[in-house]
Amino acid sequence: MHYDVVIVGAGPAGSITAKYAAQGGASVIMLEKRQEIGSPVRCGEGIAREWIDEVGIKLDRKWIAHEVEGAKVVSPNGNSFCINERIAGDEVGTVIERDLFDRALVEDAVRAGADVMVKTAVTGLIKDGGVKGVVADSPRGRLEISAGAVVGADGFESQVGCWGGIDTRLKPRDVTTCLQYRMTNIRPDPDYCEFILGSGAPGGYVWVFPKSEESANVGMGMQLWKLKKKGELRYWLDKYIEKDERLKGGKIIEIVSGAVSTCAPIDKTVSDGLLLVGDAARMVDPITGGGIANACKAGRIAGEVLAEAAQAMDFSEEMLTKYEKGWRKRLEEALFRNWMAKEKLVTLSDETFDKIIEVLARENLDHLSVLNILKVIQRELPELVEEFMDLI
Amino acid sequence: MVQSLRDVGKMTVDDMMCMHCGACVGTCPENAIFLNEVFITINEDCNQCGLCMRVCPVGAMDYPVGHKLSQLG
Repeated sequence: MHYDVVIVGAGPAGSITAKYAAQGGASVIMLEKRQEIGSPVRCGEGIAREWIDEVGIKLDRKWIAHEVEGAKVVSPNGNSFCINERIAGDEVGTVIERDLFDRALVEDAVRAGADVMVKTAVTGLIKDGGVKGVVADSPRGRLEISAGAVVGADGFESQVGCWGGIDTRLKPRDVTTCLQYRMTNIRPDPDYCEFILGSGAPGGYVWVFPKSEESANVGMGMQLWKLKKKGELRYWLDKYIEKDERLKGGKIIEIVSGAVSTCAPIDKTVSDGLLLVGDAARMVDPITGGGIANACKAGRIAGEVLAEAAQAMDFSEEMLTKYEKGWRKRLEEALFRNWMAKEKLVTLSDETFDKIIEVLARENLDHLSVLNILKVIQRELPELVEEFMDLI
Repeated sequence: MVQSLRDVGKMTVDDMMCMHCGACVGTCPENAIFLNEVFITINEDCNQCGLCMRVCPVGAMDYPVGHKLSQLG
């Protein structure tokens, strides 16, 4: 078997890459190790509406579980401020059914001409100078597929990069481990996706994303270096749930676990015949831990460059560097700034969070960006400015 | 010994607790863990640093029974 482009992983990054590459005339196959696209879900399921046009996704009732007005950020003392969804960033606006969302994206890619195989786990790369294909285990036995280029869209647990000589390993400071319960028989605020800060989730936050009036995704992310004991995250999440009155009597109908990278942008995402996209390329927003938006934005750029590469029959690092330049131009500055801000945020005390949120609650921010927040801090809390100066 | 406890060489995993989420795979500094979506395996590159145990959101990973750092008793 031979394809211009073999994509490892059929999540959002892989599907969008596949769609744009196939649309541009490349022959494309996506290999997904799960037996079912999108399932089991590993996601908080909050996304914004504003970026989906950019990557050619059409809103579809099928995969929207619930719509919210915005985000509510809650400080340790219970104070909060709300932000309208139009300005709340990439993860707020709709709460989706992620399995259905992923399936819709794969269907779009297939419509554009891509092939897909499920229950097919890539176990290694074929190399001859550059990367020339993949080896995979499938229900039909061992497969070898040669390719012009291999795309690592294999998520947080990406191994394609490491196998191909691109170092994607993470420091414990830059790994956030997450546990989420889908709960029902609870009373979440149906109008807001909540982000709850403070020492209840050391070095991270708790999220409550409503999926209906009486159910929500209740999760917690914590930085790996803050965790010492086995299974400690579950202890912290259970402890939070116990003290939140709205969640009393709630029943857990789904457990979701996983991890995300919260690192600075990595140095390299392409080499001869190899390209990384999405969480595999460590493109997760280090503040929110959200990965879908950036994965899709970078996926479009990757797909377009791969189509061009297929036309030119040139999959060299030089050619693929167009993708690297493209995604950096689109995403790198914000990723880097948010990583710096995260490094600072994890050092703040509950009292400082309380102060910052009290100030922000009085403000009328026209756009919730890290930069805007920093400007408010600079003006209203000058005593904190020194800590944040290098970010402004 | 818990029936679902499986020795994967230098570490053990409780297959009943394991969510197959890949948190350990992406965290392993040696890229020594592989998840085929059904079960994990660990190869000889593992140096028993224990990060997989700490990152596991559900506490399914541990050092082998008898290891001085094992919490399996």
